[in-house]
Amino acid sequence: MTFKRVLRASLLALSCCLYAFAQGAPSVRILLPERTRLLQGQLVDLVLEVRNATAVSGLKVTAGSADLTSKFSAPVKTELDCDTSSDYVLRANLQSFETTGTVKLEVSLSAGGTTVTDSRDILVRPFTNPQRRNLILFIGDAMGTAYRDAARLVSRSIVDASGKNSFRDGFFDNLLEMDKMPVSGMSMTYGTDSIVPDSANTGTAWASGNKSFLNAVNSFTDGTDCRWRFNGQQNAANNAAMSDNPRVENLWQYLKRRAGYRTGIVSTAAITDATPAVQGAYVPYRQMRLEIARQYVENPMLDGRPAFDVILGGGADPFLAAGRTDGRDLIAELRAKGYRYVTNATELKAIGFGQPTIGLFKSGTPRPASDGIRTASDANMDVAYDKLGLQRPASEPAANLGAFTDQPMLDLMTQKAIEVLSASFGQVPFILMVEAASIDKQSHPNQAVGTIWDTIEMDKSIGVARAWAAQRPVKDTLIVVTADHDQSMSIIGVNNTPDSEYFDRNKSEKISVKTPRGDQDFTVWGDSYANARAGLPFVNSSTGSSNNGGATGMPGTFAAASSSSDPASSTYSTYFGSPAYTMHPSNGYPNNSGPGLRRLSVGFRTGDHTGSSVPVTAEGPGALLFTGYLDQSDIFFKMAAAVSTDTTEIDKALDSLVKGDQFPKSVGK
Amino acid sequence: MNSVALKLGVLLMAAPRLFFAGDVARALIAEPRVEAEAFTWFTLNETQEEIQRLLGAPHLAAEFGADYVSWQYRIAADADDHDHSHVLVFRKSTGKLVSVTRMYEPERAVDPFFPESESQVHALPGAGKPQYKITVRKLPGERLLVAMGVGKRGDPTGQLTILRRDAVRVFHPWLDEQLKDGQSAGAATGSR
Repeated sequence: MTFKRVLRASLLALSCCLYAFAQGAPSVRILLPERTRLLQGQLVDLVLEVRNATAVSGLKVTAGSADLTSKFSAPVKTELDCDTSSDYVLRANLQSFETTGTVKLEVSLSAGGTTVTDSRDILVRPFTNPQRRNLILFIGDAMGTAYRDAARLVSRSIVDASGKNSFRDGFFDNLLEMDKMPVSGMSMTYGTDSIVPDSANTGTAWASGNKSFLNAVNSFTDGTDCRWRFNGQQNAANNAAMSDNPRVENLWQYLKRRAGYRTGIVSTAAITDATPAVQGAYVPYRQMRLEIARQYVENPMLDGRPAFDVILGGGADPFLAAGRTDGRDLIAELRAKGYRYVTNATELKAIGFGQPTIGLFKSGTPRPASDGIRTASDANMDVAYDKLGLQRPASEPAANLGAFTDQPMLDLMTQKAIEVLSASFGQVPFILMVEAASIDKQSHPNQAVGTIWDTIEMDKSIGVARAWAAQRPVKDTLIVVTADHDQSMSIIGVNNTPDSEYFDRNKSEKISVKTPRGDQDFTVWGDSYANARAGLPFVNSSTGSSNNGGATGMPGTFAAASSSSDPASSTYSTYFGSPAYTMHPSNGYPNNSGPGLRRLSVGFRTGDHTGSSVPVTAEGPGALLFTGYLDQSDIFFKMAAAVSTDTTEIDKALDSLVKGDQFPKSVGK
Repeated sequence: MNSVALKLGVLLMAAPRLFFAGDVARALIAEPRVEAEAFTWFTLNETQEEIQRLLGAPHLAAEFGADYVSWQYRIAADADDHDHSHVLVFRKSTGKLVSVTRMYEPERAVDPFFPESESQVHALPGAGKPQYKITVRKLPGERLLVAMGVGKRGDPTGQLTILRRDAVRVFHPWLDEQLKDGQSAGAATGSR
């Protein structure tokens, strides 16, 4: 061998080594979370990402004793991680495992001559004995404990004509409907990438049994997310990278596909918003509204059949031809499949039983947004406070229903959804989700009354479901009430601010705090004792002590005492006493005006979600499963267990706790 | 004196006294605009320290991909509850600013930033009808200004992005190919 040949061979070997070094070591990764849990037969995409490989061969995939190799597509060269390495992806879409217990999924392949492996232990839960039970899940979006408390304190502190308050000496005569449900637990809401989650990845947890990342709807992360996630490029130019994430089936499609359930979603949000979306769509980004609407009509888990028998909510835009980039009229397509379409409360009240129904009660000016994946407006339904025609306090924007003056209340939507879904007279069970969406949406801008009256509206809806379930000859309906995540509202006392200040939009006070990074400007209105907003410095007008020392009592303004220029006079501040509202004689909601009113005072620390755990309440067969401190993804498996397991023994134990006088009961239940 | 400090100084001299320096600085760097017929926004030469000094700490910071970190801000009041008004992307290894995206809510027309003579429309290849279009303007310093979803003048956009030319291959490979080949769907005019 000549010196030149030796040199050439050495350089070649060196360049190969350098290439390999620059590329990194070959690897393969199964795109499932470490703690993947599935129901028997639940569909999931199995996706393998092979990194730093010039070629892929010799694939072997096993799940226990089953060989899944043939299920996988040929390797597709794909750019992963937004780098220059050579990568491949192999897919086996919509697979499932029928063997229960821990299934070891093992992958082995040759990546450019190097053997690489990966494995996952997948826990497969049984679903073998459907009990023909109905399941109604209520989601109060952001309804943490303080929100439930606020709804109780406002709607159950009612002074009657004789002056008697239904909340006396710290006890309520009559608790909330959700308070009366016998079983309670708490749910931890953490996502795979954050302790403060959103409605999409929390919904993925309770709807599919698996955790995921912020904004993800029944989808897991993958190596092409870097094309669109975190860089502001969520748009149709990245459709390919936003359409390849592994999907995991939710309980609504699972029960329809495996056990013939009828399915429904009801929400006061635009119906393609994240919480309803987790029942019927599979996308990695919650704002892919056009695709979410399409999947409601052509569901990928149901061979292209519609996902739901009942859809009631806001946000018609992505269903209309004018709102879509593909020009499809999805409402017309559903009508052609036998659905009826209603657009207001009057029409909804008139519907009879049985026929599949889509009701969309709010829309914007339908047109696709410039990103090509959503519509230009979301068109959530208006909140309960505004639908009731109540006057907004000075710090909150006045109601503007526009042309949508006949929107149904959530309890009517719930009642009608149940009527449609239960029309088989017990022959076919149903699963329904009801969401009070604006508890969250009003909490973001710290609009206290919008938030509180929406929670009361949701409780009335729970009452509708409880009453329906109670009159069933067979106790076959499980009702679960929970939240997807919390927000930052706190209960801070009561106040007796008179209406003359509470509603006065002409009197406000500017507060400006100078900081090295700019002025922080705030406006204080006369309702500030009822609603201490996150932006406002929490200053107690009765003390000069530093906030750092922990101001006590009610938040106030900077004015030292009652004065004509102070919009919220400290004269009316009080830390003690009880709320005292009057009840509207016909609509059954508390009034928020009138002489002698003592309003609940709440405060907001931020205008965003928090990472606190949220309450879970349950009633009906299998309810006892929901006791204790749970992970949010447990809710999926407990709901599945409740409708597929003989729960007679635990139901008896619960009955003995709840009924009779053997054990103590709470006042007001 | 770096370019940001120079522009800040000029603007501060011109600004009414009631403006606080921080507000002016934020507005200066955060909002794209045309001044003396020149497009003015991020140069992409801003350092992380300069940006943090001017914009403060981001609302959300996240590493992604093999070598990127994202700083996301809610500077403008128009930011949606679940989105951010400004998304800045840096290379993790070098700290260099790669791109800035201004998310408009509601969407708005950005015609003044895209003179017809300097702008081209590009269409996402594929069978989808109608094709997804974007308007691209080449800026000095190997930078591109991109209005997502804009196929003709007057179209509103919700995403206005300035990015380094060499980052196009990473985030929009199809556009990189078209730019290399000199392809486009035509000039950005009102007639398209």
